[in-house]
Amino acid sequence: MTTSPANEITLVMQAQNGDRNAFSELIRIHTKGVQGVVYRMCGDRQLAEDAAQETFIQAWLRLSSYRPKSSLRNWLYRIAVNTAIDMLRKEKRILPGAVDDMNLADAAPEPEARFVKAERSALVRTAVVGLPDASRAVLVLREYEGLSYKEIADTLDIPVGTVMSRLNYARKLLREKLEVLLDAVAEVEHV
Amino acid sequence: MFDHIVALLDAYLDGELNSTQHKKVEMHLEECQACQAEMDTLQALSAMLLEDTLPDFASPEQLAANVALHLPRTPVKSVEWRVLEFGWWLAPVGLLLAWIFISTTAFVSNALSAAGNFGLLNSTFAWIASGSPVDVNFAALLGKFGWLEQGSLQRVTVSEGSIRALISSVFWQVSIAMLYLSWIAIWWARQTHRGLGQPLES
Repeated sequence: MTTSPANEITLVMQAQNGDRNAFSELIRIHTKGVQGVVYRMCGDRQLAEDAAQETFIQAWLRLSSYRPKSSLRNWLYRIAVNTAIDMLRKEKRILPGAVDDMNLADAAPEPEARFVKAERSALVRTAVVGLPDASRAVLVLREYEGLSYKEIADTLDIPVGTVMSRLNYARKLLREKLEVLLDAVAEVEHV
Repeated sequence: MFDHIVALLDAYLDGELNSTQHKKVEMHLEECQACQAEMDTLQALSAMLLEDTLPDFASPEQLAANVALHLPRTPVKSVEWRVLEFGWWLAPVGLLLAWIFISTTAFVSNALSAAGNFGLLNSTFAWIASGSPVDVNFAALLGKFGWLEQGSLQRVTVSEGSIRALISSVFWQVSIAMLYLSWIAIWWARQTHRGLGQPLES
């Protein structure tokens, strides 16, 4: 769902004045993005549902502090990232363990491609969730939400240089964790 | 050279390099197999990350409805907003106090001035009436040319002083009334605006 920036600013101003319908419209506009961010941060569907809902409740509570000079999407993403991290800590839900603990050699014994793909996705998700919070937030915003370095810097309120170093670190860790899978993919491509 | 280019590979993959740097990395990749392998791995990693699609989540409408059930009636106001709002509600009280002050001052001033002019105040209280004499230019002009007798001149002086004080008092009171009406108009406009789209969403 898309809307013009002017229309979004109008909706924000109405919501800041207590108009819940305007806020509901803003929720509809940003649902997909926020759900994407919290899911990538948590790696769990149910937790992500709760985190997305909590993100918008927090946004409503803090709406008076939002200034339209910054992007609402980025402002929401910042709340989403922090909410997801907080919920993940509080929940202590048993998410899939570290990839290191899994037997990657036997990760995809099933011949069916769909099952293999699902298995691989689960491993990748687990590897992402296992990243340090700060690096994971940068990686999620870049890889899944497609934000530029500048937008990530604005969203997380960190310098662009820090965005680059955290992203580099996150990718380095992922490469180490997913080495077996990456090698397998490389082999398939060379065959 | 190798380390320098490797440091740029992330930004190259993300399309964050300027055209000069982009071209430089591109040219290097064509001739350096190690860097090209590094780049392939980064691209494979990126593709692998995107392979994991999102599960089915609540629809935007459903989420909006769920959130609406948990929202307090109005957003929490920031401290600065609350201070402003407190000042806003204090404004009519301030105007009322100003009106009472000006009315009382004008009344007391007129009464003392009139009493002083008619010689009703003894020397102990006379200084109060003479504190800030009201301009009586018209009466002074009449007196200067000797057009009025002493008794009439005194009455004209008192009358002019009273009229001038009255005009001043009316001016201030009208100003305060206008400010008060403006406040009511703004309050009414705010209430009307707030009413738009207010019904709660289920």
